[in-house]
Amino acid sequence: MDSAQFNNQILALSDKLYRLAKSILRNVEAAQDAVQDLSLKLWEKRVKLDEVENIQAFTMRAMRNLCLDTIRQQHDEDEFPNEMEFIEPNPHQQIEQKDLVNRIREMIDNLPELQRTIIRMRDVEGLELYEIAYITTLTENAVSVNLSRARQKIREQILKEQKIVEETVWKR
Amino acid sequence: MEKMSELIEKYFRGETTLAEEITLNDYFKSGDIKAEHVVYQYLFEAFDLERNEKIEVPLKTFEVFPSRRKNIWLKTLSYSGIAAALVFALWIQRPHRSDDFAIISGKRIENQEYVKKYATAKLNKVNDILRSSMEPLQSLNKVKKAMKPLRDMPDLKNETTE
Repeated sequence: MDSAQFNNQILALSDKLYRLAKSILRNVEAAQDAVQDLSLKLWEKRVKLDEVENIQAFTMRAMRNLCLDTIRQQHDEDEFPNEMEFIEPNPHQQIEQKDLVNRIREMIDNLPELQRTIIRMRDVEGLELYEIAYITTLTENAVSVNLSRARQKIREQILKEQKIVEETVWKR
Repeated sequence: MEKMSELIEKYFRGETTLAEEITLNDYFKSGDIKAEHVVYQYLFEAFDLERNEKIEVPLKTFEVFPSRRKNIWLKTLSYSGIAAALVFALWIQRPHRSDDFAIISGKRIENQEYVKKYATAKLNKVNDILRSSMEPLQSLNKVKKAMKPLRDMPDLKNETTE
């Protein structure tokens, strides 16, 4: 793969890679660093990229692996916890908090890594199940199960939050 | 609308195809949403928002410069050539000291004429000394010449015995 092909194919995926990295790392700067890091690594191994059939799935898999390595490393260094626990805000806080769209994004962010990665790869990036299966090294069935669980969890939380909002309005 | 309710249920079970999900997305964007579905509108809105998120620091593009290495070598060669020429020029221009000199009485003398005259005078002096020291040998030569007739005479002793 020459430089023109690399820039066209790999760098064109930078936004997707960034969104994936941000979803896993939940940190803008760390996600940007991870994308830069990955692009450099891929550039160094660009000769081998000619053999790759699905460049998008390959680079996204590499991105996820790099992010998981970063999390493991940070966890070892005890800089910050691997998976933040979702602390559910009380009803009063919920009403005062941002609008529902941002709350939903937070809900997705608080899903386990695998579920939030899968739901975003499907609903944000529009990837096929077989592509997600390749990226996450799972079977298509396992991807489908995790996707369903993620969507169900978000649905439950949305309905719960909606109910609280409605009750608050009625009380007023 | 009934179809949409079914599609929404299918979506949350994780069974929809990508095409069906696009249909759902279009439905929630249309503005003509059933009241009971409005709550899910925000979910699709959140996905839309994330889809438009871009990396703030754009990645640098990569390029291969095959000629750059050659240029580096060319530059190195030309710089070292210039440096060598400079050193040579400085060596040429350094304060010149002649290699033809003589040390006379502990002094460095570069004046060739003076040195020649000095050397000739010294050599003549040596010649004189040699000549005067050879004079006693001249008298030896005279004795040698005087004794020559004696050497030419036959051996008397041998002749008498015969």
